[in-house]
Amino acid sequence: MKSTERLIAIYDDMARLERQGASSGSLCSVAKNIVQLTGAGITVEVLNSPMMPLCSSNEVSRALLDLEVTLGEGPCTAALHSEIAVDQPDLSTPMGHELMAYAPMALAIGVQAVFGFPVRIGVVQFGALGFYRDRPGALSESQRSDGYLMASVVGRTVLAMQSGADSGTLSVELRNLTLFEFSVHQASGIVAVQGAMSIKDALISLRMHAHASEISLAELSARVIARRVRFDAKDRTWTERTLEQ
Amino acid sequence: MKSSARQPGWRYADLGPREEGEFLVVRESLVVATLVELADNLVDNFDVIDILTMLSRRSVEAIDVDAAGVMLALPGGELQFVASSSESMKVLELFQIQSNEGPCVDCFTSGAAVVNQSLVVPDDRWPRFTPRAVDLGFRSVHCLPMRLRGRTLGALNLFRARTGGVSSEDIVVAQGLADIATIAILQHQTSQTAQRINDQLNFALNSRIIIEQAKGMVSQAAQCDMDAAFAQLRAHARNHNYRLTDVATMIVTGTVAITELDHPPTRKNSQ
Repeated sequence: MKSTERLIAIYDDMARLERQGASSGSLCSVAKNIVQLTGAGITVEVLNSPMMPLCSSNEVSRALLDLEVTLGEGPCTAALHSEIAVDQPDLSTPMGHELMAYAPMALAIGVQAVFGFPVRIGVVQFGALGFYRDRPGALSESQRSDGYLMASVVGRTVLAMQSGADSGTLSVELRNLTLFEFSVHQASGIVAVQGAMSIKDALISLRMHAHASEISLAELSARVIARRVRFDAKDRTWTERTLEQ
Repeated sequence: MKSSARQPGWRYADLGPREEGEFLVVRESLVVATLVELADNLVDNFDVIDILTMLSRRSVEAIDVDAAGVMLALPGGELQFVASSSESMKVLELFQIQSNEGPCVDCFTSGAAVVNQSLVVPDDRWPRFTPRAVDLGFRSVHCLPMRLRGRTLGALNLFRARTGGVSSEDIVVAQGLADIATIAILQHQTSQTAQRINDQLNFALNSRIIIEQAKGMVSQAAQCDMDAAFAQLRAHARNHNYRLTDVATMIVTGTVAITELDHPPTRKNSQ
């Protein structure tokens, strides 16, 4: 059966990278190799929270995940919401309005096409697997079925890493092998107090400001935590201090 | 296909027929939601035995051995035969008698490869296993651990009828096949506990998120660094017999004001 062969090819690539010493990018590199695209990234859906980037195969896919978290739009977000694979084979003429902000910023870093696959395990909605390509073009049929297969493998692989961890804690493997970034949540806490607003509103404000200042949410969060940027409750504005003050 | 390119929103997956009858062709409206499920079921229901059998056969084709099989550890640690390159009863028996004794047990217990073991009778190491293997015409045995990041799940067992060892290149190939089998099994096991682990992962991530949010709030309100903010949350949790996550939740939801938090025991030179 062809799919069994493909699955073995996926496991083979996973085992190969594992022998070379697993890193946070390994799983995404396998996805990229199998589906034959330029880069891949994985996100996890967390209840009542923005999706969390889990890993990426290279710098550009990392930047795409940051972009997606900052803007709240992109292939992973779309795949999560649609529950089926979605594609934008040519970002210079994006379909629909969902990528208004995302498309030009992705193009600016050399991304021409993006694809998203929902990651599910049975009834469990786990997250999404996103791909990009540095030239435009739709996926072939075999790339698409490989994408679906890879998406199924991805969720199980991540859950296998978490199995055995104590309740309420992340497994050591996941802590070591993922990009999980919590600084945005610290920053939300800070801004909530600065602006006397809810955590949720603080996160929205952070996102909007990151977008307006053309920096990633992660970068803005770092500046907020370093108290280089603060939200002023009185006139509802952001102020940036120089390092020397 | 092209006509859909102007439709608003994301273009959904192409739903054309698949090669070799894969991904059933159903009416498009139905297919949409089904494709994800199909791929998922494929991984899920995939006969893990099917994959392991295929890998056992590949071992025999790819390297210089005459029989191969996969042994998996049961929860108690006893090894159970699960798949083989041959359905010959004699060969199967060889795997079966290794549940408590034999090279696979040694390999599983140590987590290390046991290779190029000549089979000569009598044998002190494996008094039951070796005579039977020799009877069946095998001259050497090899076991590669099925191991991933410190966990050993079982072993790939190889038998050779001719005398002499297998090459180190062959051992590398065999270990590669054992590694694939390991991942296949872990994938399969995870399918069955996905819901529980996913809930647990979500809980863990949420706990972390809420603690980080509370740390941010405390650090801003009390004008302290993140470590001090964390210490304060923890001190309050300890004093009141709460879990850290509970205290963080109280802060984030405003049930407890930051000013009401207990302070950590004062250290020397600090107030």
